[in-house]
Amino acid sequence: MVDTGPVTVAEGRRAADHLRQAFGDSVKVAESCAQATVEVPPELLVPAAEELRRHPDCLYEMPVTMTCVDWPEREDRFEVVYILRSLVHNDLCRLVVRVADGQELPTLSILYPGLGWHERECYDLFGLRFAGHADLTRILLPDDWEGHPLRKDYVSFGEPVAFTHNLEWALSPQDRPEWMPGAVRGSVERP
Amino acid sequence: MATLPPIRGSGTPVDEIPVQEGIPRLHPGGQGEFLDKIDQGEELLELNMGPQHPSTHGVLRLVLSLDGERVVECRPDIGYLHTGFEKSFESHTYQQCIPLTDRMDYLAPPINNFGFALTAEKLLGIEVPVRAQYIRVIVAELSRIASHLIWLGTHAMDLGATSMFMYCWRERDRILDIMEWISGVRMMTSFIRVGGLMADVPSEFVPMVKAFIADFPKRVDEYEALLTANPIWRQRTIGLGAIDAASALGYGCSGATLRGSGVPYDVRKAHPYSGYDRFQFDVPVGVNGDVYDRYLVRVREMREACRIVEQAVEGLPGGPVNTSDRKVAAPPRAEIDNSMESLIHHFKLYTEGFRPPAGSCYSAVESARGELGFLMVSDGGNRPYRCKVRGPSFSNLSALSQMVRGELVADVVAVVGSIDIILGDVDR
Repeated sequence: MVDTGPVTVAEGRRAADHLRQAFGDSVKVAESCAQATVEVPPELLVPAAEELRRHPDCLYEMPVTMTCVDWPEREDRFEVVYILRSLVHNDLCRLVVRVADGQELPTLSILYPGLGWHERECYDLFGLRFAGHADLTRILLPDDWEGHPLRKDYVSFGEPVAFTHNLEWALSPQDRPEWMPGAVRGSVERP
Repeated sequence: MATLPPIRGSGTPVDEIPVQEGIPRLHPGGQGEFLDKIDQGEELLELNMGPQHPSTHGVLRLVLSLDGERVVECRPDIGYLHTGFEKSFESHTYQQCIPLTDRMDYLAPPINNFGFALTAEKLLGIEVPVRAQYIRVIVAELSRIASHLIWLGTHAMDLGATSMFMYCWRERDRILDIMEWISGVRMMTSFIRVGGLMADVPSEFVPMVKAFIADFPKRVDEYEALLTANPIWRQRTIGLGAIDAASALGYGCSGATLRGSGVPYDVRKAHPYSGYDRFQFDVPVGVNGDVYDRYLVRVREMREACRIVEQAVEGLPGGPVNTSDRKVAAPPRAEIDNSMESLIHHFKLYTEGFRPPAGSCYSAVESARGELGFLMVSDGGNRPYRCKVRGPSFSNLSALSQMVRGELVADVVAVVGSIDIILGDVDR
């Protein structure tokens, strides 16, 4: 899907063409639903964002939102998406960076103050870290929350229901009845 | 009735609103001067405002650092209403997500449905029939009016104008009656679905809407007679909580919060969806970006919404309200009796849902609070792989600290009211 061919769609084309001109082949462009998504390597994130924010051909001044998409089976599992809007050129740009688990990204909250809270949300719900962020704390969840719920490997709700055929999967050794393989002795009395 | 300030048209800011003679301005715009004075090693008072505070419009906690009566710093603490909708989306089929969207911005639920449905339709590559587009616009604009009415009532009540609340509630109830008539539910309607609407509107719908819009502009005149030229109202709001256009844009503000600062950005004009380009309407903008300008913008928006509804009701075409794509919208009941294929479609849709092709898509609608966007990622399955909701209140609230810096602590409620946050939309 991601390629370096000519950009055919209208929305986001301005950003794609400009970044390609500025940074060459390290910029990849994907198209989906008539929108272009520009992918840059993490080290180019800040220069690319500065270019998009300040260059008169771009002027993507409004940070609409940023978020992350988790693809656990990929090597760089987090796809961080920045959505920026240019009111002058009436265009929308999607800037994408891929990072691995534990890899830090530079913050864009200095360039776009509005992204400060969004980066906190990404930290809160995905566990992404942003170097240089002034106050990288949880924003939606309580401070003592464990885990990052929007990761795909975070069980969304409920607890596994134990049936006779899946007891070993559903119950930890402490919770297993005595007659079950792997049970801790005297843990649970047989009903 | 007192003379009203002129209506501010599309993107052309008019002259500054004159301050009446003899009324001192409480907010002479001396924030910078005040902020220079502090920072002399004086101890600041930390004050907790909320989460259980009637003027925070939900559960918002503000940690204020005060120097006397002045706010030095304001740190909003959010998340008390976090419901994890984005995680829930991932385990529901697209159509099942619609009732979840209702509960985000719970003062204008149809607009949430609208945004979600439009994004899913973009992923699917389908268009809904023109009649459905018109009805969607009518329902969305009516709920925009209903939402603004609640904002106006509570905002005025926060500042002591208690009677406004009663009047606004009266008009809002008429809109809820219309919603109940078309969907059976007063608030969480889930009326707009992916592929069209829940059902066609009953025959009483058009007369009800017409009666409402014939009456409503007069009511707005009454509200304005109570507030717009009211010296107390103007004293409390003019010059308060001002934010300049560049800062508002940098914070990602949208809706009346951005337009109050003079930026004529409205998704309905910039990226018309669902046939908004068919209708004539203006985008009111303010000049100073203060509480009073945001008030004026929203009141004018109610009039403009009324204009849109009027045009949409006049031109409401006939025809179906659901897409003819049987892979997305269920076939009519009569068709199931005659066609095996329809029966299969019906069964598949209600057990499994539909599967948009793999891809991702961002699209936005103008909600009552600003740009409500959905970033939807599909992996080809019957549930969204990831659906990010860009709640306009979230970005608008992030600009609050800048707005209240240097203001009086009693005015914080006025500023919070003026950005019209809905905590369900902030926390999602």
